[in-house]
Amino acid sequence: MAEIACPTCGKTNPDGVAACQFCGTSFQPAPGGAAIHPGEKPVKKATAEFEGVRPKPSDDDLIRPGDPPVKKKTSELEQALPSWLKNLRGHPDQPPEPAPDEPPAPAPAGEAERVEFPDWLAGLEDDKTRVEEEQVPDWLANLRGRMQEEGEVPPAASPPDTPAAPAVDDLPREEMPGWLSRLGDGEAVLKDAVARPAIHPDENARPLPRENTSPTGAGTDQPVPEARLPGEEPDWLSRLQPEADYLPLETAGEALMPGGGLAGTPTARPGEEIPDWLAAAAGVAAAEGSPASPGGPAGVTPALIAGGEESPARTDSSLPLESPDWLSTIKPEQAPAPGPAAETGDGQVDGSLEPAQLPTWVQAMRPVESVVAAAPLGESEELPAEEQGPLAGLRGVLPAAPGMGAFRKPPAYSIKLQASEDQARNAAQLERLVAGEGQRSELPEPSLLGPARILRWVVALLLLLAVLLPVASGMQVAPDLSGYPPEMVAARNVVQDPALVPVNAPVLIAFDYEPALAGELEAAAAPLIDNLLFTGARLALVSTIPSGPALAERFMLETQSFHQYTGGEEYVNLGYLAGGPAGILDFAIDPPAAAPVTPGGADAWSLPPLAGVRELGDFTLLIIVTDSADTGRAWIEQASSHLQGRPVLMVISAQAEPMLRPYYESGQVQGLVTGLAGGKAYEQSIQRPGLGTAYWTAFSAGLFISVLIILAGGIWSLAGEPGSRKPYRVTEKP
Amino acid sequence: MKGIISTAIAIAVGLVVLAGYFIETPLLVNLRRLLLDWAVILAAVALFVGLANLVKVHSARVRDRQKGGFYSVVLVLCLLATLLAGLALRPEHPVMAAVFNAVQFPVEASLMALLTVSLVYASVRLLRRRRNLLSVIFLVTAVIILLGTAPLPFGEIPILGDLLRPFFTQVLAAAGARGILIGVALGSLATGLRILFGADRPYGSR
Amino acid sequence: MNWTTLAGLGLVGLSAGLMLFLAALRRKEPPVFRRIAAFSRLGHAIGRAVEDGSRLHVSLGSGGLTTPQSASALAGLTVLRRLADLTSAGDKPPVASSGDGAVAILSQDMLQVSYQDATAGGFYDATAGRLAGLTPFSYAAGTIPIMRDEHVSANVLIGNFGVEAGLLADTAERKGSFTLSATDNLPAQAVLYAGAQDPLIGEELYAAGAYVNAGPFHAASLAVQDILRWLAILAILAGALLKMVGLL
Repeated sequence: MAEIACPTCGKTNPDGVAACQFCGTSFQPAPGGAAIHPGEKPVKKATAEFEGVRPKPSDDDLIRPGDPPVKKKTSELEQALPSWLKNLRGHPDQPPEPAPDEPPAPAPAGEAERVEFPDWLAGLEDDKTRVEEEQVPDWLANLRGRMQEEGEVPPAASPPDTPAAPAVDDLPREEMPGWLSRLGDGEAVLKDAVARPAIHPDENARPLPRENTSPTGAGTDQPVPEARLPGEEPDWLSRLQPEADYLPLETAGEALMPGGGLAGTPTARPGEEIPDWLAAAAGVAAAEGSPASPGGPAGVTPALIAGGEESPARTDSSLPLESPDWLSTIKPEQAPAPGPAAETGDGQVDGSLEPAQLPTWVQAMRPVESVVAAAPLGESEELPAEEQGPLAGLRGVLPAAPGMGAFRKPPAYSIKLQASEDQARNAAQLERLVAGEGQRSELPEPSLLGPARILRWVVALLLLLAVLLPVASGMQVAPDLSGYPPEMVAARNVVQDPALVPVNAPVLIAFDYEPALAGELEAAAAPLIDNLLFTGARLALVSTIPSGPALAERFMLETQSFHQYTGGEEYVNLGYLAGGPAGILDFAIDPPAAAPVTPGGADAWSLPPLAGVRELGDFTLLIIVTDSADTGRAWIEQASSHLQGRPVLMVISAQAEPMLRPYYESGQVQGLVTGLAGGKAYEQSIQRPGLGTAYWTAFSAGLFISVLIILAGGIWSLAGEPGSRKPYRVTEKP
Repeated sequence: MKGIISTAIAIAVGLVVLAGYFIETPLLVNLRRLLLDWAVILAAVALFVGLANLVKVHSARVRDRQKGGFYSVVLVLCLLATLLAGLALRPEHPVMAAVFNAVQFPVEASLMALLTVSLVYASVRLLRRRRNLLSVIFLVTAVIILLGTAPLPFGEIPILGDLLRPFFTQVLAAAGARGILIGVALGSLATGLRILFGADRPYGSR
Repeated sequence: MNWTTLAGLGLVGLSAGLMLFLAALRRKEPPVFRRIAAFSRLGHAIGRAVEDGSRLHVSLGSGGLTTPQSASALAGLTVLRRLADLTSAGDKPPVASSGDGAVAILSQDMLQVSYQDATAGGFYDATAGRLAGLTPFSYAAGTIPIMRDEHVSANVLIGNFGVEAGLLADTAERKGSFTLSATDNLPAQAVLYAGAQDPLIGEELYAAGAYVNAGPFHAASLAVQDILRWLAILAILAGALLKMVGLL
């Protein structure tokens, strides 16, 4: 079945309807032109074309801000009523056949007690005369007459000019209008209507469907059904459910038709007040009696909102000309048992009406109670039930569409800071750090008796004992050397060779060692110099370090006192050669220019020890006493080319031997005395004990103790945990 | 501007001295010697500037009453006294010799003895600080050298003194030292070239 | 001019050409070096020094500018400049100690320029670059109070040191401060291997500039050294072979 989507509310309507069932938007094309399709350019139209749409308000009709309200008669607003509403007030013409999907004509109201209509419906009273003047259809008149004869309608309550509406069954079929003949199918229609979800009237509160009526209102030509007095109301109408929370829009409007009575008695929502006119009408309906439905007021069940119950068909003559399908399906034999009678004005209780078959669109707008009170809903039971709001209890009342989720109260959020325990702990720690930033914290002093300090003391004590005891006691425990190093022997041979070092020859000695290593080098150089001085050699002492001249003087004074060499007589101290290798090179090129004076300021090259010496090659021998491989290498590299083949001897520290030994092995150095052991060996070879011999036992014991400590510590380290004390525990990145 | 001038002077002097070593023309040789003499003089002057800086540092420490201020007072007084005495008496004077023999010589000798204790202690903790094969080899080599240097109180160990120690010192150590020295020489060459190119400006230029 | 002079001149020329070429090449491609753990730890130690407000101490040794050991002093000055730039944000400026007057003056210059570049010229202290002593052991004696009393958390010993470097390493260990040591003196290398935390062996001293990102020429210098080292190896092997066969 084709459906039309409303352009205003978007809801689907059966195909063929003229207006939207929900909002009343007309589906007819706008006046003055073809229908507007999406995408089309707007066509400018003269506003005069729309003059026929609604009456042009006069200046008097215009409402301006601040104007006091003006009471008007509702009859003046008659022309604004839609045609269907007007038709419901009674029309001599036969109502047109409604299409299958067409929303039925406004439900006719049953005979209702004549009530005082509110002001806005007052116009309906004015139309009553016109209705009376119009020709009443025969069937309607018959209905009215029958009812009067049967006493269903108290004669006093019925308007004198109201024709009695014949019962439906009494009417010959050929005389009944089509819609009325279809009242026998009310059961099916009613069930269908019950199955439809009802719609809350407030949410879908829309104005009454506007119809394209003429300024005079086409509907006004229709006879207005006259208001029905109590007793004149058809049975089916009186059985309308009284306790509907709301009414479908159309049915609400229909229920408020003049003359149509009320379709049922509405129940006020919480906090709302039922209009007096509506309540009075409901009271009339309740007085006429209707089968009570669950949850509804006693005795009144609107046929169109009954929850599956079939309202009894009413055959009152006050039925409108155009009755809806649901009304046509109501059968008198289907009328439910009458419920407790509601107190009404006339005390009538109607219990013989059959439940009406509500059309689907009517069922969709039923209120909650009608749905809840109905028979099992069938498929709607599977849907979730609403728990809150006016739709509480209903199942599947709202489609599962985006944005239409369950309403729930938004959670209340505390304005207090919500922090977990970890966060609070971290915040407290940060606070402590910030507070302690300005506080000065003293670094912990290492304990005096820490294990490292104790170990240092133990090592120092052992070494001191090993060295001091032999020196203090004078004991000679260490054995002499069984062999002599060849380089030492070569040095001795050079010194003792008269061809190389003649008697009283000038010899240059470079004292290039630091005072810290004087103990070793003095012990190593002393026997060689001592051996040299036995030849009566004239010495020239030079140094490339600032403390060298002082060390040279000390050496001559402390170790060579036997020979009683005097400065300026037997030896000359040439002082300090600045510039390192550059100074050596300068001295090698021109010794008198590089070192012209002694540290005392005397002319060095005029002194007797340097008589006849003007070049480096004039020296018969060069002895380099150094603790540094760099210094020894500098002397060899810078001075050897200027020596003119003179021999070079080196007295070096044991630490420099690996770097300087290649010079001996290459022949650039003719002799080598290495460390204390070399000095001891030289002393032993010339049989003149000196510092080497004096230090030998202490030296040996110290070496032995050192080896023992290192071995013990290494074994202890291998057996223990590694990294017991790391100053910086920095993890390396892979 | 100052940076450009100092860079230009450094590059020019470096090129002249380098050329003077390879190209032995009288002009270059004499220029080289002159520049080297100037360098030596500047180094001596720089020594005095350093001494002045030393005095300033320790004077500030005394003035600010920092930790060790007493020793700073002693240092400054001794420095001034020695300087004045040396200028007045000259270095070969017996007083100066006595000061050297009584102060500097024993102090440095004591530091050397202290170094001996520190080295033995460091050798003991070497395997705890750095436990690897190289450390084990290092310690074993040190033990062999020590044992082979001098006979033990109870006698010589034949193999150590005659065979192992000479092999370690004259072959292994010498070879390793030679290789390191070659590398050091190449590094010195590269450093010098960076100075000549102006890539390195240790004289405070940006 | 003899062949040794020619060989030396050729070596210098080759090195210069290679360095220029490689420096131009390195500007485009970042160099890749083998990892040296000591420099990695140095970075961590510098970061800690800046964070905890302690001081960095750079010791340049006792080598003079007129000696062959000046190269190590110049390498130390380059590292000093770079480290001063890195620690310019710290509370306390780095302190540089040396055993030579000229090196002490240059260290002062380096620190001053570094602080000027960091727009912190007002914080420069002329006593940050000091002459600690004129002899090696007196230099060590003058450096030990700096390491012990001036809130130093990281020591960089880079320059020409003798065996007295063992005293400095021992002081650093007592103090619990980080120590990176590099020297061109062989006995000192042996002493520092046993006593220091992170010693650099051999010519790794001259690689310090490249590892602290001192400039493209430093990276090019490393490449030049590697090339010349291979040439030296080939020359030694060739000479040994020729000697064995009797040609030399």
